Amino acid sequence: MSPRPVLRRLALVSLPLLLALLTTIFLGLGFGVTGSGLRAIWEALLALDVSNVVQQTIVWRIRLPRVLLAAEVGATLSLGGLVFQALLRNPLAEPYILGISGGSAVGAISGILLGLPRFPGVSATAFAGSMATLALVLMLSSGRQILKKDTLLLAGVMVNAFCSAMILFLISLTQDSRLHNIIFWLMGDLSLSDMGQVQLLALLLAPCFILVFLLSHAMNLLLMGKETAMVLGVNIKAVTLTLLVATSFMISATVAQCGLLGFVGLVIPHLLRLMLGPDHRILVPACILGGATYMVGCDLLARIVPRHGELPVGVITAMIGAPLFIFLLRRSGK
Amino acid sequence: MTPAIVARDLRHAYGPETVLRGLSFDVKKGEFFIIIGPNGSGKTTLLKILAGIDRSFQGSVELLQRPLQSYTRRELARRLALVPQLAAEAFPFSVHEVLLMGRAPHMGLLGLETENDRRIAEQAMRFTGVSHLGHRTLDQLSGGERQRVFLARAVCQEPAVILLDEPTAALDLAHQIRVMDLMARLQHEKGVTILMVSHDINLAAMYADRLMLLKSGARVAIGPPQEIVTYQNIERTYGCRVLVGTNPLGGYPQITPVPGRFLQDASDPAPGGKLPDR
Repeated sequence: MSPRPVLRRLALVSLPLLLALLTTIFLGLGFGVTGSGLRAIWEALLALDVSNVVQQTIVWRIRLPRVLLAAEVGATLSLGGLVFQALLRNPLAEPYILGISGGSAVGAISGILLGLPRFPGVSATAFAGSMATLALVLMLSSGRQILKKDTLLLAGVMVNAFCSAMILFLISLTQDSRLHNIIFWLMGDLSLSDMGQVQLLALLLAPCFILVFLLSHAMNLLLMGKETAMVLGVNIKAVTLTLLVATSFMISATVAQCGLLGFVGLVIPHLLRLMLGPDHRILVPACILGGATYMVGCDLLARIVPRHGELPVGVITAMIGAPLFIFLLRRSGK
Repeated sequence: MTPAIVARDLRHAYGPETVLRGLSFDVKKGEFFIIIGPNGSGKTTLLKILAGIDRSFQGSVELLQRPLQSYTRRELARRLALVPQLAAEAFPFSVHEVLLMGRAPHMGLLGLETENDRRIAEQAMRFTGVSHLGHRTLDQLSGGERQRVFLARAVCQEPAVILLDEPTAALDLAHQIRVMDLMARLQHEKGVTILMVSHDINLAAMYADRLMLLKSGARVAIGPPQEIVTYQNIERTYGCRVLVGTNPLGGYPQITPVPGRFLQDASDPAPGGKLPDR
């Protein structure tokens, strides 16, 4: 049998993206506030200069978990955006659209106000918050006709609106240093991570990624319309519910780890769809690799651009992503 | 001849509104069967029930001697295809990709096609005359071209039964005939059972083996076009006057609707009243 065109395209798209990701990770390990440079990273990676303990520590204990976390978060948010855009057939859909952001923020802020430690305390309350909103949204939208996309969307928007009010209310009550923690969480923060958390997250994310990829052809069929998908043999109730729960779960897991990072989940799927077409069997791996690359790159810039301290990574993701997206959109319209 | 579809006492309601009231009919294997009726007569609901999309009905449907509910979605998709009403929304999948989607019920989870799937897709493209469009994307096609692509996708499923929901509604004259001719060829060359919902009585009378007139979810008449297309039946179904003549081609019955100004009697069903002065 001749090689299948889909598999060939998959390889053609995935290999360059994987290469880009590895390069970006490498750069991410090499550059930072202290001890920058490609030489330093080679030395650290190959353990050439064993005596340089400081450098080893910076690269392996500080930068590596942060870079890997950025990769995990970027991949998850991009994939989440892709799935929601397909499920809701709405170009404005993004990972937080079903209320995950609002729910987890209320959970996290409650945790911070209770004086819980960042991990596992605040992560746990944030995760509980987002899972609670998911349950609420599913309950609200599964009446007689299960999971109508517009009902789902509206339920999510309403839950988010209510949570925003709760967040402002909680913030207005807070005056001490905990306020700083809350703001940092809301802006998204990749800095507080160790390898244990990165590994735990990888364990939680991997099954979700695999599940979504296995359902990628069903997502293609879903794009042709609900009824067409049914008549082509897709059990849309099971597929929709599985995708919804798996995606919400993986997004909640990353949000619990590093707070809210906007925009990546909206723009990366659109960018890749403009470049690669609508086939989800290509787009799912592309979003995982491309989203990871993008987030690692943005985090790198956030660390090295300012002279002192660092920028919130969310600032960089939108500052680069929005103009890039508009450029591609205009070009594709011609 | 064995029946392809046996429907018995079908009832369906959306909330308090009854759409189908005890509808029974048979469709024979290899038959071209067209359902005609005014808007709101339950045609589309009936089609959704037969396609396994709407399962909240009462009564029984047998497809190829098996209860419809006993099929899994995948099993059903290998036996029955649906060509839906032309939708405005179109994602930029290529024609080739759309046709391979028709092979989905025969493929694995990831939809990786084999040589055989590709051969069937190419045959279907040639059959429906869309081979030259293979690499164009859906959003670049005209309505008529897109309709033919969806027909080709249905052919790719290799079904025993094809359901069509007003396939000619949005098409120009040439495309209407083309779509109907393709269905007639599928019927004669492959023995596929065609069940179509249509608004075009004249077109239906020329192609159908049998017609069913539907009104308010109940059957008005069923039989060959010559017996069904009478002015009494049409008036009972649609509540408007028509002249019934004979088509010079093949002697099929042909209707001509009668404009209001030709009607003399006061029982004219059209609404009265005066238009405001300008």
